[in-house]
Amino acid sequence: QWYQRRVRSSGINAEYGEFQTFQHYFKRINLSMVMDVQAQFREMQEEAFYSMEGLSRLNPEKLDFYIEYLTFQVEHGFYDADANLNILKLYQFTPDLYTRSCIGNVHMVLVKALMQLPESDYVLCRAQLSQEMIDDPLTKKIDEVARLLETCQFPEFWSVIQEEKIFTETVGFVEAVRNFVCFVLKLTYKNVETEFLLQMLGPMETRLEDLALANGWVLKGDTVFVGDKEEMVEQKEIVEKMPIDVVSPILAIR
Amino acid sequence: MVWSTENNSTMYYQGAKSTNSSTEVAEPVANFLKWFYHFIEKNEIYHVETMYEDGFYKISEFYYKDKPWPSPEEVQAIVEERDSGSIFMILYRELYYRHIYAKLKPNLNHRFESFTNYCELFSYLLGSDEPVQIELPNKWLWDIIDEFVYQFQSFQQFRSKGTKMTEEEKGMLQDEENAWKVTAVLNILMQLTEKSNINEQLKALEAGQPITEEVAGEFGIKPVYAMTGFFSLVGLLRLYCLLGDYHMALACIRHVQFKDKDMMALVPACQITANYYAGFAFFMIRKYANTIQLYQHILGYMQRTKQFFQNRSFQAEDINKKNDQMLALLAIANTFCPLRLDESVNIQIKEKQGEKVARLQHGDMTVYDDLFFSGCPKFLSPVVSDNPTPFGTSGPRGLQLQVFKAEVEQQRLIPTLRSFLKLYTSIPISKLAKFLDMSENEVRCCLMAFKHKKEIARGDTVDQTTLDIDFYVDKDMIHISDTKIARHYGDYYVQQVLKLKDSNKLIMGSALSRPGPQQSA
Repeated sequence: QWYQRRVRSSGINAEYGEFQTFQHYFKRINLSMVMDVQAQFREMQEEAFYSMEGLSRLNPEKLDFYIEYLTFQVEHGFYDADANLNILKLYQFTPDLYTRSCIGNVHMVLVKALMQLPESDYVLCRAQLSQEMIDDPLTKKIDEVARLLETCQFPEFWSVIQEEKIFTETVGFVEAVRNFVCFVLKLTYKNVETEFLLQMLGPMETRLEDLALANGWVLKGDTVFVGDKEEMVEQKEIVEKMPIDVVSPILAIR
Repeated sequence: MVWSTENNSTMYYQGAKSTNSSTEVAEPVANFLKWFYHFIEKNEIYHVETMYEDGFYKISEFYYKDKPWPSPEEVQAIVEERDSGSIFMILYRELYYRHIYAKLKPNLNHRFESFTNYCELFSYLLGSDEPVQIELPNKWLWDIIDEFVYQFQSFQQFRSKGTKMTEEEKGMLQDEENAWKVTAVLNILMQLTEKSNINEQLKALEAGQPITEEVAGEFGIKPVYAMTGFFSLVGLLRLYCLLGDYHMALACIRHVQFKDKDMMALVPACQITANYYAGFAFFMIRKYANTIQLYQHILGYMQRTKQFFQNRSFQAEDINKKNDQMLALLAIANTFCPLRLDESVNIQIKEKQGEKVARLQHGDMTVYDDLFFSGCPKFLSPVVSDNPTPFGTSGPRGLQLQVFKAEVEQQRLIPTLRSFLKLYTSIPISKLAKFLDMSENEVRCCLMAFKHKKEIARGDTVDQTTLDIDFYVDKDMIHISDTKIARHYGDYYVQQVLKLKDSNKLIMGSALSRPGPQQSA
């Protein structure tokens, strides 16, 4: 429908089968659709920012906008922590707004927050939920996934998320978690076995070589060199320092 | 007319013999009120401060230990004030209700009237076109904000009594829907911060620039507004923590620096409250290093200034309570993120929480609940339902406990791991797996979790005096480092030398004044 508008406004009559021009315009439309999404996000971001100034963030009439904004984030892979947390806050302050169907929004907020690991966004969201929201089975599932991620049990994680649509349908979720896995691996390992590494990274579409290049790793056959860690484990000894003003009272004693 | 401190004490205790009737206001009290009125009208802030801090407390202790101060109408007659809405009357009513809340039980009428009074007070500050002329001592301004949030907390707790309320009370609540609404309270605090441009001022302070009228605005340049704005920030911090919104809580104090020479340090009670709630917010989002840093600093400060608080009524027991709460939370935080603590703090923890800490180290899970409950603030829910269960698992406290328990569960294996790793400088994963009775893969996941948690707990702190071990994994070998702390005897040595010097002086002094058998040094 959007594309039809564009064609009409550019004055080209596609019905007459001018195939090449049509292809050319289709390419142009694709590009502007992508750019449009960025611009759209920026617009919504600004609107959200201004409507959350001071006390107006508690205005329940804006809730529909925030939910629209959230759906946009889920579909196109953007993120705005403040606005999403505000949805939960509105549910907390005006429980009348919260109906059965709203649990879907809550789940979307939680999954988007999980993508921010290792940041603590998920904990912030979790602290704002009501008991009713917590008791929902999908919330419990998301909680379980969060626990798996926080305790770094990645092989189990990859199998569990296949059970629920929400994880595979949220744009960018899998990539975000993979980034987190790489981050933790970088913290822990100097050399890691390739087999183990692949287990941790789950079923990937990109090749391991590309990922290694992006992260600055070196593939060495059956191990991957992640980074030098020697300086981390030098024996540290905390020696006491005595500043002069602490010692001077003694020096003054005859 | 000179108001001296000798006058103070004689005036209070003079009329002790003549207070027989409870309706008559004793003469010293009447005098006190007249002087108070005079100083407030004349804006003599130094005297107002003395009267507020000393006088009010002493008279309360002596005359009004278990009954309220004279009603506002009586006082109005005494000081011959015609306007019942004048600033003195508003301030007096604030003190009157605060006394009732502190010493007696407020009934529902009191709560509503107090709320109306606060609204009047804040509209006096916020409503005028030009900055108001009155100046109040900082301590009073802080107490006003603190009490405002406290009375809101008390009201929410009262409402959540649910079925224990009488029918009459329920009826009154329905009539007065607007009293103590959470949005109203938030609104007032937010407006106070905006009016004084306090965030801009704090940003300028951070950057080391002086505060000019350009930065602070017409209102913010006056100390009354600037300080009220600052205290409202702390009030907002507290309120958001009570509602479980740590994101907004930390956003409020984004520009506040917790240093000794800050605006906060002007009122010690404010400093303690701000540090406690900020540390708690960091604790809930798992940045334990920040919490430990803040709590250590403030606990040390409280130790050093303990004697100043002994004689202040409104705060003494509150401060002790906060002290204990911080110790409980510090004990938990230290288990999750071992950092080096100051000796004095260590001693306090051992004294008060010694056995609990031992149980924590052994991995006893129930202790976490106890410590959390004793350390956490009294959470609130912004809306009170008809059948509330404030202390049940779905009440506000229960919800926050669930969040905390999730973290405890995630950290379950880490202390055991830590204790094993401490024993080695390098150990193969297979060996560690045998010790821990887990599969190798599970051990690897556990190691990664350890690193991940450590990284989060570090938060925004820079200082790295950590007692924790660090390690990295090379294929299937774990290499571990440990921080050794050389024995710090320097401080102790200096202290003992000074002690000896003092006792020497004492003995020499007494030897000169009283010749006789001398004690050996």
